Amino acid sequence: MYSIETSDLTKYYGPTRGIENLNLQIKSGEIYGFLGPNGAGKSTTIRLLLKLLLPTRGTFRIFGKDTQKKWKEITGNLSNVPGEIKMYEDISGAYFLNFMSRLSGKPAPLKPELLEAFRLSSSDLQRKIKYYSRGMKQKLAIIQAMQDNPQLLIMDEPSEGLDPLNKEVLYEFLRRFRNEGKTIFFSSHNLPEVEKICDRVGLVRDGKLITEEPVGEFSRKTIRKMTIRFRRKINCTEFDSARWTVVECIDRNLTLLVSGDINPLLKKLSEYEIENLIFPEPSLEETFMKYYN
Amino acid sequence: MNSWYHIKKIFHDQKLMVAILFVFLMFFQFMFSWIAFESAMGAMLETYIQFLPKMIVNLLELQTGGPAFASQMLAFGYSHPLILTAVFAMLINLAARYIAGESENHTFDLLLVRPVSRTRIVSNVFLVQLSVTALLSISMFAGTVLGKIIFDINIALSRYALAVLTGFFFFNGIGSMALLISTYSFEKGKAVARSVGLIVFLFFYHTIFKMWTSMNDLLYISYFQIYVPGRIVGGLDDWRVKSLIAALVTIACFLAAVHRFRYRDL
Repeated sequence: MYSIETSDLTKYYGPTRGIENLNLQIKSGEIYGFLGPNGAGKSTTIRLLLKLLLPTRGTFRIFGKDTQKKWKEITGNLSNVPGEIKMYEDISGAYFLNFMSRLSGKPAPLKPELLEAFRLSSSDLQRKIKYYSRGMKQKLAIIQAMQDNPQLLIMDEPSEGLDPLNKEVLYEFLRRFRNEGKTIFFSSHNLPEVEKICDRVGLVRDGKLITEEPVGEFSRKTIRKMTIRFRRKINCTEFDSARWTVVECIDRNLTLLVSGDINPLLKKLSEYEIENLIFPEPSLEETFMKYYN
Repeated sequence: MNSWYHIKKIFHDQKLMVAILFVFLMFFQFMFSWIAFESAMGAMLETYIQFLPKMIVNLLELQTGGPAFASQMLAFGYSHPLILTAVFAMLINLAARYIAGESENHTFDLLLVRPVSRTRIVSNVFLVQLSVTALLSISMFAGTVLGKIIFDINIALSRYALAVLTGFFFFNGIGSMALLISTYSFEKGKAVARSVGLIVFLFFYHTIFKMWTSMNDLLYISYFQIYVPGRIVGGLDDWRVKSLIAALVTIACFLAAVHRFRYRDL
């Protein structure tokens, strides 16, 4: 049984395309990364899955259940971290967490642990949400979604606004949820983040799902740019290889595009004295180009 | 049952406003009983109204020169523009904030992912409107009762109770219209503006045809003609018919709001 299963799910806003013919099958116990640039259709998909938008055509099932007839049952095991967090500003964090937990009609067994892990103190919780920083609001949104231990978590760019330490806390909880057989649908435009925690990745662009792959395969195909500055002038022909592409080679500077295993390249570089090496995280656009090509 | 917490939250947000309005309305009606029956201002007002043009006197529904003036004056307090403005503002605010406002702020993204249906959300806001209207109606009547007890006024309280009851249905009609408008709006400000616009239109329609005596027949289709407390207290209007019409408007607007909210994007 799939936790999420969509069939030709399509949403148009008048003549404007939101998402088109989306067919997803996400298993239980899987972290599914939904990756795409801004405006690609990620948030539309999430809002469709949460029934906040009505599909133009197509259907979807959650936990194998018909979302038209059994939505109330489904929501009992579903939680959401919305993108662009906006909350009830005039209530305290503590009131908000209690309110969300009571609405779900279930206890919140993970609440104390989450509060501790994300370091939200009781004095923080007593303050009104309108006085919270962006990061604190994000933490609160994550805690409300996870506190009642849902079977399915739908998260729209949940790490936005979090510092690196809290990002790690979030990833740790997501892995734990996965290991407990829960499903996480995770949208992001941050490629390294998706590579780090997801089991499978779906790439969406211009409202269409371009590809779906296990994250290992995806990482292997990811193109990364490496810029090296050597201590001495190099002979550019020495770097001709089928394993990477030389983009630029001028004097002591070399720029390469690399995908897959980088060890042969590192072995080659070890023969030279290097002054500086820049190997940034891959950009989403470069990865898309690979798939388009 | 868990959606009860949604209602509780709305009351939690609005408790101060409701409390202030409750006290204000009670005090206002109490003061009206003092003005109409105890103070010299009542006689002064009666003299003043005699000098007003006939069309204005028609609009106020106050018959001067008889013993009924003070009773009518007391009933007029229930539909005084200040009272109408205060109650309408409260009802419009509830609908706009908890339907259009939540849509604007995307807080429905959190709420509707819980086992709370869209129908329940609209019903909850409607229930809060009903409760607030009931509370405010009680406070107005309590002001009159207080006046009767303190000033020992000789009035038939039951007639005033019927006027307040009709007012309860009338106000709920306005509340459900605001609710319907909010389900068509994605921003709180627009929902408020549209609701105020509708009320202003209904009020001016009523005012114009009430002052224009040869066009008085058109008042039969004026929503504000439902609630003329002076006529209900004086037995000139059948409160049952008026209340029934207001209740039908309320139910129709509520059902339309539920339908609209169930089938719209958020």
